[in-house]
Amino acid sequence: MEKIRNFVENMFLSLPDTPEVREAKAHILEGMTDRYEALLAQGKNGDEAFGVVAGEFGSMEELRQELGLSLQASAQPGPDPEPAGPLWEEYRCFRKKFTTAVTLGVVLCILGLVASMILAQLPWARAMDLHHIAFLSVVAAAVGLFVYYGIQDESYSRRLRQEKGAPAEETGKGERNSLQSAIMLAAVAVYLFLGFIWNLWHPGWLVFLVGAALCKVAEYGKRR
Amino acid sequence: MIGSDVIRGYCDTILLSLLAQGDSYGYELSRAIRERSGGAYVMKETTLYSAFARLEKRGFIASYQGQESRGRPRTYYTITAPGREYLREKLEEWRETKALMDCFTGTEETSKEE
Repeated sequence: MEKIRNFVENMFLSLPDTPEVREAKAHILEGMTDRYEALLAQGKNGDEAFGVVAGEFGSMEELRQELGLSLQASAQPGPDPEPAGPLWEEYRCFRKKFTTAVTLGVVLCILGLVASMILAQLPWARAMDLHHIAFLSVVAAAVGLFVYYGIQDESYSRRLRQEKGAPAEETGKGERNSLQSAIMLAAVAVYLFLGFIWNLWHPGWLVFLVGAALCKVAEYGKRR
Repeated sequence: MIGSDVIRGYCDTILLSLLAQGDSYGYELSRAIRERSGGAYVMKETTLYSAFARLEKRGFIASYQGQESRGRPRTYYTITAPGREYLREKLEEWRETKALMDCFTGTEETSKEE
């Protein structure tokens, strides 16, 4: 009996742990056990009976198709239901932090601007360039948040795609994407710095071209 | 030996026609298929479960918990009214299919030559 359970568990290994899958597993196990017991009652020995039962299992592909279809059919009209799984749970927790971080980043940028405008009114602060310092520090913190959580988000997407069975070459693209995000964010930070501190909005915008070029270089570099 | 893609089209009809004669559960149905066909067709476990899931999803059968076996209630299936209607259509379809194939496989009972 344990042999049958192990057999079924092995066949179902690659499937996600959803209620539908668990039900399918339980039903099939029950049917196979019934058949096994009936064979024993007919006088077959344990190994013979198990052999017959294992041979009558069928194909996981068929089951996967049927369950895959039924997962889609039972979804509410709207976004796809997210499969369960430890990685998804982790990602869901992360998503909350990610949302908070991004919101905080944006709010910081605005508050930084407000702070810099207020400080600009105070002559002593203005003399020390405090308004610029305050603004850029706050923006730096915000950019740091975006980059940190952005890279983590990329990492999760990559791992989740891997879990779903995406081809291995996706992983390279994931790393590349986070590097490119980091490069472009750095470009934004440098541009703002050049503009606010040295008023170099032009030719400061060239920074973006440099960033784009660096991204291309990174792409070819990874491909090697 | 019937090809798997051919037999797949008839699984639903086979199961529904058995359930039309009375409620049953997984192993019972599988056994009935094996015995009625004289061993010619043994429905695999995955095929059986896929068919149950499919038929239940389409509302042609309904499941309920029956008497306990091995410490857990057994799942019984019953055919529904839409299920009987669907079975009727599939049986009609089979009759038409059989009549059509008979035209080409030389087993016509009456000559169709003008």
